[in-house]
Amino acid sequence: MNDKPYHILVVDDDPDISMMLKLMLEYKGYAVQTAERAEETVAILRSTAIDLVIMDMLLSGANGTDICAMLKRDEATRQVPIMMISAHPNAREICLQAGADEFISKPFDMQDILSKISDLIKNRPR
Amino acid sequence: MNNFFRRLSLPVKLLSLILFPLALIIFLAFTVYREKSETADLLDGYVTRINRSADISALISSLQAERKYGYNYVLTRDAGMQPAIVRQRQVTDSVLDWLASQQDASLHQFTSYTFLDSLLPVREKIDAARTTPDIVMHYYTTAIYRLYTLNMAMAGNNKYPDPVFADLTAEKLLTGMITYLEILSTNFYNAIYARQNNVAMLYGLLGVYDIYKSYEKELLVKASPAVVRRYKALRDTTALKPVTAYIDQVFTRFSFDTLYDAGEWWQLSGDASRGIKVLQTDLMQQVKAAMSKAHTDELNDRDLTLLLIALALVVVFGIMVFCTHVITQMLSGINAAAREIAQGNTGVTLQNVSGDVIGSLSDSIRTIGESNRQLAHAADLIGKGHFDTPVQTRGNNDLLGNALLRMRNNLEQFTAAIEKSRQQFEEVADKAPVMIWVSGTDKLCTFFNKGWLDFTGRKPAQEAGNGWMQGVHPDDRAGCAATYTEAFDTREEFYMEYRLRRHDGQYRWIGDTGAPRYSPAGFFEGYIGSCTDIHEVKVLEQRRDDFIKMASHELKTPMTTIKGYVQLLRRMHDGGRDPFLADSLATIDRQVARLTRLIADLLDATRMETGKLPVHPEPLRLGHLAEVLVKDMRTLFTSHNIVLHVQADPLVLADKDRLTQVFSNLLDNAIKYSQPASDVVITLSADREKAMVTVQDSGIGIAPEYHAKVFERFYREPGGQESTFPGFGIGLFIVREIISLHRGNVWVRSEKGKGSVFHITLPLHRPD
Repeated sequence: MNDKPYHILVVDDDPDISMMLKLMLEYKGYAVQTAERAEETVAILRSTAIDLVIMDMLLSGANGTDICAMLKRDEATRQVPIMMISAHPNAREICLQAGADEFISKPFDMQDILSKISDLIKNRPR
Repeated sequence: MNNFFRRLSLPVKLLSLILFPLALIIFLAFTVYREKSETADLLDGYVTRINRSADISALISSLQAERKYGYNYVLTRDAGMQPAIVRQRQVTDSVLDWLASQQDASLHQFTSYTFLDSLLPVREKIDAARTTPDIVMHYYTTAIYRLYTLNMAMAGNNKYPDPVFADLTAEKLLTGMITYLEILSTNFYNAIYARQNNVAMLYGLLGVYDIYKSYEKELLVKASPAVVRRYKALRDTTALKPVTAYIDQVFTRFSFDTLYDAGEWWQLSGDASRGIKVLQTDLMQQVKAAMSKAHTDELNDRDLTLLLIALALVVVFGIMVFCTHVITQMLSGINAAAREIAQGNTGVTLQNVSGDVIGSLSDSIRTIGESNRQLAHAADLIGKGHFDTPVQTRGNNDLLGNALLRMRNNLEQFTAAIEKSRQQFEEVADKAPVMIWVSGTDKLCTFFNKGWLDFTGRKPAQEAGNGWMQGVHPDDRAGCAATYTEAFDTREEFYMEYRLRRHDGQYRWIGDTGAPRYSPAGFFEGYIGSCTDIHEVKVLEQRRDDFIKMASHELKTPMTTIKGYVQLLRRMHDGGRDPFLADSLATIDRQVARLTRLIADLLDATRMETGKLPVHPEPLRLGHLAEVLVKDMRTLFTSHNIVLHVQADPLVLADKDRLTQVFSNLLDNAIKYSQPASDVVITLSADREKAMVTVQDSGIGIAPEYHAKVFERFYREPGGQESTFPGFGIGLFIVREIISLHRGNVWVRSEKGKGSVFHITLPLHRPD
């Protein structure tokens, strides 16, 4: 692990999941911020250097896929890798179509999600 | 001409072929006969002439003997010679009688110019001895001489010389007369000039004068009346008259007088000769001209004959060709008509037929054609259901006609039976509690039972054909038509569900099962279908599926949190001091994994039922997939000994997650149904076409009668201990569905109490 930790933004309207992911990622040495809504997400991405976004597909208010598509359209945020998560069947196609770099279905395996996060961060464009 | 000939009967046609050559042969025979006759006639003339010549020679011979006996008798008066003389005279007379009896024109009055008219007086003078030996000798000698010259004359009695014969004979006689007249004239000139009255010379010339006179007599007998007239004119009006008168006078008196001096006689006798010569030359010219004309006529006649023969040949040949052509043409026409009929054509016509055997043949063929047409027409009408169509059989042995008649009667009965059967079917169908439709071979519907019509509230005419489609929900119409058409074209049974508008306007789900119909003889006749209103079931199913979908999603969310924390805790306490905590966390993790899988299976089973399970195939190495999975399973299930045998590492085209799901389910089952610490063995192998995976356990096993059933949805082996095991009974159903989506096979080999082996095959992937 580097001295300077990677910053990960977790976006989920279920605080239990956000908290669980935050603990899991911090345990692995990542710096984690959480958000519940689109506005927050965009605000954090604009203010903070984020290395990865993990986002639920279905959010109250705006759809995760819409936010994903918006971020991928925006010059400022398009470089940030986005990992979508969902318990919904057929979510994989919808998310990848919206521009997500990775998809993990709920419930996920800890080892699985950590190795994919590591891959995304290492391979992300700088 | 052609038509006329066609109408002639065959015997007449064939007779014509014989008749015309026959006529030609007769004509040729006649021509040849005529030519031969002329030749024979000519030869006959020669033969006659030879015979006549022999007769005259016999006469000359007899006269020579008579001359000898007469001369000697007059000289010697020997009475002993008389018998010989009488005998000889009898011979001569018999020859003369014979010649007189012959009707020979060339011998007409021949005694008058051969001195033989004086034979009897001469014989009397000999018998009475009132003559001299010299006179006897002179008489017989001149007669014999004239007979010789007569014998040298040409033969008559022929076709060719006939027209000129008289003139030719006259011309020769005139030549003789000129010769003898000039001998007399010359001797007379000498005597007048010398003024000598030589009696001995006159006696010598007397024979010449007699010969001249005999020629004149013969001329008057034999010449044509025209020539006789011309000669008589010559004799009575020209110099010939005084010359012959003077010659007569000299021989009467036996002395010359001074009537003419030498010069006058020369002139006068010369004129007389010239007069005769003119006549002779004219005759010669006439003869030449006539002969020339006869020759030319003959040549023309010959050419004409040749021309006629050639013409006859051409005509006969032409007629034969024409006859043959017409007969061949008629037979060809009949042949062509027969061939057309043989090929099944009707309405064949034949023209210009005759009343003979050919005509009768063409009539027969026409009759065959016509009755074929009538039978075909009748068959057509019967085929259209007009069973009152009359069938005219062509006699008791008319197989076709009788067969058609039987067919008509059988068809009528058959149709009546079918109609009755149809009515019965419709009655039954109308009473049936389901909706029934029937279609024909053209896919169009022909019947809807009362159940259907009551449901839709429409009339049979509205539903017939494709009319029923109007009641199908617009969203289902295309799929409905496609399923029906596809099944119809392959003659397969089908089941489809669609929304159909009820009489009250509500669309209700209908389950429609269609099957092909076949006649007893095995002919395809269309489809029959039965439909039930499955609306309630369908709605319930939809609700169930929606519920399962929603439930699985809702279950997954808490599962995510639990699973995350358990795994985080296990990671944090890995190798920790508290073995109870570690074991507890491991158990929670394992059971959460199983729960997760169960929830996923439940959802997948639902999606499979509705055909919405997504599959994302990619090239996969089964070896790697199995290794990763076995590693995970080992961490989860430490109770069992999971063994992996990789005999081959085949490449397949498959959805990674789905295959993982298959193997997890099989391993999960193997662990679930076997004793802890026993072996669970996964084996990978391959042959030329497929990859093979087996999952073997030594568990409770499955009785053979359940081998197929274990793959069914929600199936749980009934009774006893199995029901104590957790699960919905959908794990193997999902395995079968996923393997089926990958075009593979799955089956089980097992015995009760002896463990189970699950076999999976998948087609090998061959990247090109």
